[in-house]
Amino acid sequence: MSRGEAPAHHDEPPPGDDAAAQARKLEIERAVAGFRRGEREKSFRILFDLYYRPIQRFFAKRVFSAEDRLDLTQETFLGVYKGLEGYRGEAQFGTWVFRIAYNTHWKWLRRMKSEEAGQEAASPGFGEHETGSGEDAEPVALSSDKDPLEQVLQDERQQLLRAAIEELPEQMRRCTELRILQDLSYREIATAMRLSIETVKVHLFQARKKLKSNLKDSLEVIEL
Amino acid sequence: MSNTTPDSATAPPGAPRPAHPDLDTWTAYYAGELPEAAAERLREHLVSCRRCVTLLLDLNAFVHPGDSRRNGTSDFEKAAVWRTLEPRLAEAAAAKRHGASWQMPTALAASLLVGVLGLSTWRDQQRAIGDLRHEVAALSQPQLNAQIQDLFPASVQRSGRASAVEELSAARPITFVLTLDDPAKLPDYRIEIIDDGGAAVWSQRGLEMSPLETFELTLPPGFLDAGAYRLRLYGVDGDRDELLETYPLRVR
Repeated sequence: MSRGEAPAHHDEPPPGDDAAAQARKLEIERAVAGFRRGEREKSFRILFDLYYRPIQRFFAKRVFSAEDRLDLTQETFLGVYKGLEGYRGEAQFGTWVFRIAYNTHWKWLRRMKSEEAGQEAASPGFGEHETGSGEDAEPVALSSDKDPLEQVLQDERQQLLRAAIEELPEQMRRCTELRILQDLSYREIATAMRLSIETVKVHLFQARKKLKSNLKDSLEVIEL
Repeated sequence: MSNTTPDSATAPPGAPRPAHPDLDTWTAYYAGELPEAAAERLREHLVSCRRCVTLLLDLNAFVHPGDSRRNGTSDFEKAAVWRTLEPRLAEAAAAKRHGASWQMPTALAASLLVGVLGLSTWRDQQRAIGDLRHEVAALSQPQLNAQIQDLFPASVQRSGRASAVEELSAARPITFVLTLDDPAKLPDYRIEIIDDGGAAVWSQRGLEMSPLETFELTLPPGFLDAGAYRLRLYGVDGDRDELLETYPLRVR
């Protein structure tokens, strides 16, 4: 299993870039305060610029139709606009906006389900819409275009790898599984596990050493 | 951790259905507010659940938003969304202003009414009282052929499940039964009547959901002039009003 450099999937500032994060936080606070003072359009435009991409990407992952995505993006911003005066800062602003997007999507799913009653619809779980993006596919995809012998060997290698990963210390194992099975970047693993990116790098470095040592010649070089 | 939702999509055939922690649990996890044992269980869940990982990473993208002015988002696309959104924001702002400005004239009108009554002659007062008694007596009697009208949300009407506009007479009391396409249980509900020009005619909190998940609203005779209106049903949760449904209405 050969892997390249971890892709930077996220827009958030890398850990350590506290200055950028602080500046962004301050910008949000000022925009919210400005909105309450009555500078609605100017302030909301700032929030729109900041949250357009997260909202658009949130729906892009969950809603197939471009028209529906546009509607839901607008509904979310409208919800933010209407609720902004009532926002008291109990939750982080981003969490509050996320909740509005999530609820907008959830309500839309329920409406779709009721309109499509009678048709067999995929279960939306807790609000996630199946888009055919493969999010919920089995994590390890086994190749089907290899000859039978190669397939058997690959199956064996996968089993050996899985068994070796199971032997790793808990936190290291989780980081490794997220890296190998879910193809997450270091930063994404750090976010998901609530670890620093440095800790993730150390875990994966040590995991690579242990796996190489344990598997010896059974596997090709694993790059984490 | 009891706040979970079932998922069939990730369950391997024959395996017990796993459950996803809900959004509140994930936001608490993200904020570091959970006990370590609970956080550990969630970490373990994440390892095998791409869906929850995606949710968590999306939450992170909202808490640390990049600036779409500088991150390569299509300016054209964003500008198009803003152009479409802007009039809706203006409409929302206007509705809020109308809601606020409507209350002030009402209070003013009530004060004026008291003043006018104080200044009017005893005879005028007696006539007014007589009219009121007559009206109260009429309303106290059983109503024959009462107008009861189911109203369906505008969103449903587009799919052809109800007529576009209801025709009703303002000369008699009208009871509306408001149906919801997507009933949501909220602490309180508010109904607002908007005229053709977008101005709030009347608004009141305290609407209660019936066991059939409908709402009922009775208007006295002559309450609305002839014309087109929209009834807006809001869910109220703390300081937040959320528009649940809009019902088009025409009074003749």
